[in-house]
Amino acid sequence: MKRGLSPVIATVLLIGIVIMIGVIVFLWFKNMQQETITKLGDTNVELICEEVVFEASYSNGILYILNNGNVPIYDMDLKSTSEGSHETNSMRDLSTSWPSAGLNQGSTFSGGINIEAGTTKIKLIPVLLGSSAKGEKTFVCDERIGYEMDI
Amino acid sequence: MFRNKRGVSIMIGYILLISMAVAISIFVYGWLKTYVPNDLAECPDGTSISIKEANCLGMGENYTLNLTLKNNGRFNIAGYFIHATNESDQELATLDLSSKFIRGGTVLGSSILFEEGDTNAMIPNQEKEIIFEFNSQIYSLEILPIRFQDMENKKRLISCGDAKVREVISCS
Repeated sequence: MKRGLSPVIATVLLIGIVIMIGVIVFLWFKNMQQETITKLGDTNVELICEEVVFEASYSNGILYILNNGNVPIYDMDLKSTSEGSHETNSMRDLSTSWPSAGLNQGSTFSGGINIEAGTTKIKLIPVLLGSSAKGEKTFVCDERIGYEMDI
Repeated sequence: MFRNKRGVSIMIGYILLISMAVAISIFVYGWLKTYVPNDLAECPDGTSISIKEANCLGMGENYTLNLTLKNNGRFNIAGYFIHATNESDQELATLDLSSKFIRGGTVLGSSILFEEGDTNAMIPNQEKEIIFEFNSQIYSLEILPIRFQDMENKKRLISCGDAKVREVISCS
């Protein structure tokens, strides 16, 4: 007489194995995904970038920035463009007078920054501070959110 | 030959497919949930403030600014951010005058509220006088009104970027 597993036990084993495989697949996908950064609650920081509103001007070597929106701006990336090349630096590296907590709503910044000769345009790209599973992380908003100025 | 081909049992196949679909859907739900935009924090259209009168007196290192603000909009206003330019060719006002505030409200961070607390105290058509003292000439003023808005059962201070006003000032 051929012996084998009872159908009930076999079904239970199969379902258990399938659930285990499902959990493994889920964890694998989760690790592949770029870590989600959120801000102002559980909203993805990419959406918050769309709400950033600020003004800027540059004259006589001094950069002026005013945050007249409702999103605190932690840092700014300054992208300077000259013929055939561009360079991006963080405002925290370029200026010692950048506020350590960033620009809250209604806050302003004015400070001298060194821009290389031959620079034709500068673009300010906001950097936000958000929360992730591993703690606070910065997020650089898309360039199209940036504010461009001719030099 | 074809009768002896072996494959996965149909039942096992269904269980595998359904389990993987459920696992992937849970993952996608968790990820997409963060992309659902919350209610935007913005001032109602029709919020407006104007500078009814601005008198700047002084010279050297002593200046006094008497400002009369009027709520010429349809909604109450809690206060404002106020900045000035200290160069004649400066485009953007970045000198924060909230630290130079003397009388006419209360300071909250870098903003000035018309009254203490979290109320939008300035009603439409109301006027308020405010006095500032500072030690350098200013050339223009920018005022950005702010309001307390109820969001997620909390009061949040919202700046009304669309209602910003600017005025050229002459200190004599």
